[in-house]
Amino acid sequence: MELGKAGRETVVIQSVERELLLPAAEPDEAWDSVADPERLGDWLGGDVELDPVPGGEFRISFDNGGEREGFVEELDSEAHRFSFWWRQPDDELSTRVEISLAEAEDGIVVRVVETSPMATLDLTGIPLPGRGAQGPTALALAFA
Amino acid sequence: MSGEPVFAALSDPTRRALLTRLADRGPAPATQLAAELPISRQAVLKHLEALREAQLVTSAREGREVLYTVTPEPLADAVGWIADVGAQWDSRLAALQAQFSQPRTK
Repeated sequence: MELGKAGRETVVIQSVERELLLPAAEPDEAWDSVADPERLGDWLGGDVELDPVPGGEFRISFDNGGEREGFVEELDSEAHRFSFWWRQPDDELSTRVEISLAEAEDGIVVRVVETSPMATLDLTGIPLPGRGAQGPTALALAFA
Repeated sequence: MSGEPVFAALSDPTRRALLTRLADRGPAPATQLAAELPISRQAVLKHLEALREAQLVTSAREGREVLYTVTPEPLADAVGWIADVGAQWDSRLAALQAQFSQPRTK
């Protein structure tokens, strides 16, 4: 079992990444959808309360029930990057969400990455059990 | 989220070391693991129990010893987490896209 290789593969296991192109959107307009709690809640599917400073409270009550609570890591209006941590009230561990905007030729690209604490494994190069025929293939499918 | 117990069990460096050892060099009894790590057999047993609860290892008696073995199943939970979280973001981003594809007033 190759430690380094296994370590890199664990990156895939605990991170979800999505990108969405908003054609012809203006940067400021797109950023409002992220930084304005009301508009953020519109597409996250709930009511968002947040204190837009590092360490500030982040809370969302989902329209379909359930809630998450956490804190703001960074809300950078110049870099158009918002990161926060959240967890369900009965969960022990939080996950980290980063939403960022980038200008592209044909619009604005919204990028979302949600990472679980398992990412720490990558730093230590820990191999996970079950890497083999099923592991990476299944992960690749789930990730696609 | 479904992967939670696995992530919690893996949050401890000693447990990761135990798991690495078992994944790398195969099943071993607690006594042998304790000899290889700078902690007591008691502590090793405690950590192995946490790993067993997260279903990352199984234990089976072999002669006078209990051997601990790494199990692959919890990875299915991690895959499930990715699928769940991915589906949630797909649906949220679809909602964001819908916001931008229709005329609206600020």
